Amino acid sequence: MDGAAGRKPGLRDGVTLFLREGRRLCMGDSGSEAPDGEARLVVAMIAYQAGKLDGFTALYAELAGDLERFFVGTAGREVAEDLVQDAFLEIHRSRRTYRAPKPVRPWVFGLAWNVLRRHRRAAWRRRRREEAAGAALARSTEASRRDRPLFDAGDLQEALRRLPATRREAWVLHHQHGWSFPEIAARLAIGVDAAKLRSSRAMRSLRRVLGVAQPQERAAGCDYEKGDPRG
Amino acid sequence: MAERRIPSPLLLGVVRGSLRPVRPYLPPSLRALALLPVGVVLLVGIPALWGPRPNLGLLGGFGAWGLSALQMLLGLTIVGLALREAVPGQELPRRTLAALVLLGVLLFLALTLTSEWLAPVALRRRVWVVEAIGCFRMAATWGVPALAIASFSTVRASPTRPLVASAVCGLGTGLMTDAGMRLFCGVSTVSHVLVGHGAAILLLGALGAFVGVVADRLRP
Repeated sequence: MDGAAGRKPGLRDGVTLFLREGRRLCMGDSGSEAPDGEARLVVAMIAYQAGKLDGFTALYAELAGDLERFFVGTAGREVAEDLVQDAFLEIHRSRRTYRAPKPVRPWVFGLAWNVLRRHRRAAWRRRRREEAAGAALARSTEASRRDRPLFDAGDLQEALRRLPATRREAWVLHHQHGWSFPEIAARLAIGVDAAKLRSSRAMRSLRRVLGVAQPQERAAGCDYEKGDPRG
Repeated sequence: MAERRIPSPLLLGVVRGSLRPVRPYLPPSLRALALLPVGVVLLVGIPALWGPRPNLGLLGGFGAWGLSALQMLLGLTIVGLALREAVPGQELPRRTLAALVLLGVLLFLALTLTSEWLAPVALRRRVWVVEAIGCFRMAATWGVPALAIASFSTVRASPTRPLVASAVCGLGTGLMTDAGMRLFCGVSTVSHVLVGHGAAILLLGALGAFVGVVADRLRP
């Protein structure tokens, strides 16, 4: 029976642990050899660093499946295959940073994580660009729709002609000649509210005749029946 | 049975085209050791070029050179750990990172208080601010080139947390720089050291983080 198994950890154990951990941290030593399953990967990496293509193909054969599963789980099936290729390119570029006999998988998956980060960043940027382009397209479509005349001058004249004379006069004085409602009221010898009401009703009739929808946003600011801000 | 795959002809072509033997990087500890001359230049060069602090004698041999060398070595150790953090698969645990930063801050504070205790200096309020700005600029002048050298080793290792690795590297470089500044600047006033020298250390940490992030974004 091992006598050390039953005894409590003492100061010496603490010091040993401290020194081992300190060495592990300061010397960059993982403190553990690569497990058996990793041995082939380590051998492949050493061959790869020595410039042998066999090392790379062996590494690919061992790790491509795992990397694909990693990327399917983190980035989606549709991009996983491309990211596996990117990861192996990253491995190729960074192969000097691996030091045998450290475990290969943590190193490979660290690089795969870098590839995933860059992919996500690029995807985010692309999405933002596309959103900005979509918004710009929507704005330009809206602007062109607004700029296009919904009716011509003849239609307006015809619609005005159909209005009752009292309403038409108030509308024309306000919207075509720019008179204020007190001026119109004085001219027509009516009250200011009546002038606003006539102009407002004329506008509503014109919109109905010309097939133009009542804009909700303007209704609040220019509802003549509630009082025109310019009035 | 484990699935075995073969690389696509395109990938194989790219790899074959640039495949040559490479020498693996040295362990982080040795790469940090390679930066020891930078630490010595900072430790000796700053007081040698601009003159040692007037009250150096009050600190004594150990209080001046010994403690500064200790600070430089701690900074170098932190840079070494940053180099380790930069290698994929060898990242430091969060607790270790927190302990590192705490250790650096505590040592800086302890040395500041020790200097104040051994060689106190009375300064008027305005003067210490002016002196702090001067020290900040001088520390940055020495620290930025040192940071450039240390950061080069950090960012080329493809860190998975470039911001953390480079910030820690900057912090270590800042401590190394301050080890030399401590032998040049005769103002021991705590407020001056914390503002002027501490800000320079923080600047180098922030600059390191910035360099790490930019280098990561520039990577293909």
